[in-house]
Amino acid sequence: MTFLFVDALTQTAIDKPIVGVKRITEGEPFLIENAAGERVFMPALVGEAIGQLGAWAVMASTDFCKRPVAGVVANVAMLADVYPGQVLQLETHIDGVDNEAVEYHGRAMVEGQTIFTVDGAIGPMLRMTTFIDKVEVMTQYQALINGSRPLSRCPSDMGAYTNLVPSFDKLLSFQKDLVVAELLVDEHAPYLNDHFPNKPVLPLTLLLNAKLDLAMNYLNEFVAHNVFKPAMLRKIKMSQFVVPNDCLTTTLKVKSQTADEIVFVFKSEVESKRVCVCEMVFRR
Amino acid sequence: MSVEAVYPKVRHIISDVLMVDEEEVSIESRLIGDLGAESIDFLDLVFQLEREFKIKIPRGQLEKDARGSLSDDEFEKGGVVTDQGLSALKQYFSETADEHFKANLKVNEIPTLFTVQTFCKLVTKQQQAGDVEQGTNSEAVA
Repeated sequence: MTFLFVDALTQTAIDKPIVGVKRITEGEPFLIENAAGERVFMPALVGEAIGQLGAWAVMASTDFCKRPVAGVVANVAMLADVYPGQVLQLETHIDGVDNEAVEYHGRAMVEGQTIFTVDGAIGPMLRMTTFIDKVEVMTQYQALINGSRPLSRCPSDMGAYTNLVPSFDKLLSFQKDLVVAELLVDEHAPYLNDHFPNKPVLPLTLLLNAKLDLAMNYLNEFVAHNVFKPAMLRKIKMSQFVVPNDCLTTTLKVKSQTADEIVFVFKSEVESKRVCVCEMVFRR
Repeated sequence: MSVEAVYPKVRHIISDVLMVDEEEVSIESRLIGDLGAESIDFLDLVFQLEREFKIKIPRGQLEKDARGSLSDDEFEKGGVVTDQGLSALKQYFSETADEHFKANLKVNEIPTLFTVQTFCKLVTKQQQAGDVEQGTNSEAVA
């Protein structure tokens, strides 16, 4: 399966807003249930789409010699869910790019309404062939420019994909003042084939989704009549790649709490080395 | 602004970026050796400093300033800093203890010399550069 969340590119010059679309079909593999039990496009992947949109334009500007990878994101606002049948209008602004890093911000809209924003994002620029062959990525790009990329569709053997959405499957501690959980990166997970062909790594956005789930589990356990919903992710930083068979240990702590808002801080490590940190804001 | 004037804010930003208590951060702290900074943290730190102090920090500015007028060949050979280059580094990073300027220092190890004071100096320098540019632009407009 692919891990591509842009269906078409309509503007790719990096000195202008980069514009593209992502169509959410009924066959979208990454539909999950929200707190209300509705099937929605995984919110973290809206951020992935915005990042990928910018990445396409930046990669093209380097003649596909370099590609950005996830690094730092100052702030993400999740304003509304996205449902099957809707079309994400994507817009990414490149604030600066050189041989070492790209800085960008962006948003996603549905029917003209902003439903997701990304601010203060920085992605290190790395050699393309470490991740994917140049010809392969250029072919993907041409399909996006021509509008000939096939829409996301659940593979016919989707039932076999029990490992599609990574989660913290082992709880080492589940206390009100500390949660410690483990996530083992399944080497057979289907998203790894495309992220990336030459260097499979856990996508930051799937890790963030797993953390959102963990936070919701905490709220359902420790907050009576929980009505908190995820509103914002901030201070996101990915320090190291997480590869197949890595065991990721994550701690969750409450940073602050009021009647209307609760802020969690997450720290993830592999073999005691920091790999990812972030804060998550939930609001009523 | 002086190094002393910017230090409190730089210290706060460094502690936030590296997720260490502010009490652990002193002006002599080396970002990698003492505070555990990784390469992504430097990208993050520069971004935060630029936003906080409304300055621009061009990529590689510290190495460029430390190198001074030395040519590439005078500064390093085969990725290893020359003796001449090491002297230039010692002079520029005067706040870093001598023991960290080891012989055969690799160019990619130069960030191990960076301290909190290094970034305070960088901020004040870029602030002055920005003031000079604004002054030049104002004269041009006049």
